[in-house]
Amino acid sequence: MTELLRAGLYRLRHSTAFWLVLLALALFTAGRLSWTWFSSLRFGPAETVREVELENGYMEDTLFTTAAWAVLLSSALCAWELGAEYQDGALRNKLIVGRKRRNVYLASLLLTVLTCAALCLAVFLPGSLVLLLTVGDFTMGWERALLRIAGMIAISAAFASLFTLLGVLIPHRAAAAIVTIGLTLALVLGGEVLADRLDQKPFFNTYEVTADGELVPTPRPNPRYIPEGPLKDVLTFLSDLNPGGQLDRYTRDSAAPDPPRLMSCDVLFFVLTSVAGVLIFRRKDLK
Amino acid sequence: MENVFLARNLTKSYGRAKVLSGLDITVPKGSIYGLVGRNGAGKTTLIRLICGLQLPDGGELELYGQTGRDLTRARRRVGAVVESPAFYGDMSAADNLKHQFLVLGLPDQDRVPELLKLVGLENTGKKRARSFSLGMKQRLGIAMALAGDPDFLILDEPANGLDPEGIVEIRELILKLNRENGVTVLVSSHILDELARIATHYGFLEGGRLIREIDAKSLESSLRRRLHVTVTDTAKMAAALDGLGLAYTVLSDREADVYGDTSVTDLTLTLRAAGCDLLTVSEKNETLESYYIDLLGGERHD
Repeated sequence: MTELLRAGLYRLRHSTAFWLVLLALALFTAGRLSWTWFSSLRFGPAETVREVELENGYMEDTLFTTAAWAVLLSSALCAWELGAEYQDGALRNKLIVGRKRRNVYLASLLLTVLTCAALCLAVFLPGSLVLLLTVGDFTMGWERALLRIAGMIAISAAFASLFTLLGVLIPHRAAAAIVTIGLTLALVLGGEVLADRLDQKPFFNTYEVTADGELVPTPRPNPRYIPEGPLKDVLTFLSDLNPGGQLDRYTRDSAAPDPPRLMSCDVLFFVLTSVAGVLIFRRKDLK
Repeated sequence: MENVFLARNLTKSYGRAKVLSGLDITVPKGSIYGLVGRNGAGKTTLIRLICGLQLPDGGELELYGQTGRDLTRARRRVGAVVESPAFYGDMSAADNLKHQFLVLGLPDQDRVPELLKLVGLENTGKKRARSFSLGMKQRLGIAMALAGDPDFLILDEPANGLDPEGIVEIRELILKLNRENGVTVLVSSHILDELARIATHYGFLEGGRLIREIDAKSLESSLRRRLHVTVTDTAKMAAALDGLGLAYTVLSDREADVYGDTSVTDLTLTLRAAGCDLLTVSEKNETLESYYIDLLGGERHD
């Protein structure tokens, strides 16, 4: 297993696609935040802009949204790299020389996690640096910011386990990339839709006009509201388990995520997909 | 003779298609075993099963005396190029070999230049493997297979895409590995003339079964003398030869191959008596190719 991991790291070090995406993300994040800062300077002196930023946290929202893009990009990259393992036949070289299938799968998984984590850090490290040099601090404070960053890395690890599973199921490189990106987007959008349903209030605040011409607030039942009960519990659990839904929560400032709970869901998602992947890969016919 | 690999009653299906149906095969230690069969006969599937890329539906595989779960450990003594050579296209030949050394858990990578020289890729430098010619890719695949210093080398169509010079180089490499290093080699190939130059044993596959297993010496002694004849009427010739009990293959209205020990004088007189003139005659030895075609049920009349 150690040897496979060492070989995987050697491969990653020589992967042009990995370094290109890493560099592009770091430059894009630093550029986007710098541009946001310098654009704001048109509206007032640096000190005022800093105060507004510290109050609204616009730049740090931008940072977390960019990190969400990193997760999506890592899905494409991982699918591409894993697809290459299959299509170029490099995976065969490991099995032919007597490496156990379980170890080959787990080494691929760990490598995918490292790739995704590296891409997240390629966003957070330059982004946080720009934020420090311009605004000076996170609006939410360093402790919460670090917890959120850890949460985002946990999401990327959960996605990585899904990408590895898909990589095993779909040996065709281009098909794997398309399905992986498609499923990632579906999970993000699905998570958004589910979160929206779960956030619905039980009543609408409507107003009726009385005969005297007065506006009287009249609450009406919201048909989209899901009442407390087993259904809501199950949907909440699924929403928390879905890394795409978590991504939505980390990037929407209105949603206050609970990183420790979400991270435990990521661990569960990671374990479930990895166990499924190992079991499938043990019996899979390779060409 | 000690065996490196044997399979008993091996079966494998893809969906409803049965690719191997009760295959028995024995690869002796130190041999160059030529696997011969038409497309779809099951050669590549057998190789995939030996390499652990696929699992058999039934039957038994034994590699270096190991079976079941222990096969994985036994595979550490195996090197293989299955179908197309496998490597990372965006890495150089040397980097691909270094990667394979890491996979094998061999930290000492001093053998990389030696392996590159062995397969004639020592001057490729940083050139990406993707842009190699077909022959260079094939040679890199073989170098990767040799990285673990295997005792058993499996090559699936190693001459594919090689120019004549490349074919000779691969042939010499196989012979060198077998004679000097004692490596047992299993080769599948469609180029039967090429296979005949190196193989010490043959296995003929058809319809997922091994229809004949024979060593090179036995094969050589069973290959018969053949006379290629041009006659005025092959139908009359056939009737005359049936009477003599000689085997023959009719190639056209005027051409045929006649097998067995018979003198040209006897043949001429027999045909003349049957009202058929012998126009030309040339002597040829039967080849592996004709033996194979005969084995598969060509139109020979014994």
